[in-house]
Amino acid sequence: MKDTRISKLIVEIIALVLIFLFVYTGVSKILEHNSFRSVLRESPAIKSKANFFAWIIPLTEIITALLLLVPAFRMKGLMLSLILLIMFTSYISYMVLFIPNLTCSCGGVIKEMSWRQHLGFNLFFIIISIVGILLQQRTKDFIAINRQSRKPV
Amino acid sequence: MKKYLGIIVVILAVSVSAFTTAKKSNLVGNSYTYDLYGMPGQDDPVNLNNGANYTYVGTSSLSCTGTAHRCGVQDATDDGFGHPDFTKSYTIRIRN
Repeated sequence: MKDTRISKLIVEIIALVLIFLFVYTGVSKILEHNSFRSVLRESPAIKSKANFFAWIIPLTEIITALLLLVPAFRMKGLMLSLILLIMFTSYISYMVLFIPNLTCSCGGVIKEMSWRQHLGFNLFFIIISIVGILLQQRTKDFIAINRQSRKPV
Repeated sequence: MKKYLGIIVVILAVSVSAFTTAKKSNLVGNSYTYDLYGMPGQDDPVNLNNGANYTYVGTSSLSCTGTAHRCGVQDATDDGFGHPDFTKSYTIRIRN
């Protein structure tokens, strides 16, 4: 019982940290939209769809934060966080390997980081997302149903 | 209180984001504009990130017309030789 309570608390903290991260970076990308789009246009991997990505990335980040905010959708939010972070990390790995001189298109103060620092930063958030998913699965609340009366017991 | 913690974090994140963006846009001082020389292979990141390919144009903003390529950088720090220092933060300016 105590274990479950601690697990729930850890999931809450992880969700709050991820909410802060996604709202902060999402809003920063919207506020600095022109600058963000300019950097995306210079990235060989996505420059042809830069306008699309310049909107869809911050919007997805904000949707992820909203899913994490609502306890009923938290699992979906954690899954989406993990998918987003893996995608961002793959992109960063590609940049580190092939175009290390290009600037980062990340939101807010995060773009002050070097590619390698950013890689470490993302790996940390991937790990906490995985921990969050595992703990959230473990602490799922069950309602026992009486087979005869169909009433919760 | 616990119920509203998520909302508080959202408000905090939006405020910090708005604050850092506003602070950056209000920065005055050593931020200059540099025009990128037109050259073959301009899209190559090696050329784009070579400060020697840029010329100092003061603190005015660049007027870029034409196709979508980088035409210069703004809010950059001088490297002491009249070129932008790409190890510091800067804003890319492209032709729209």
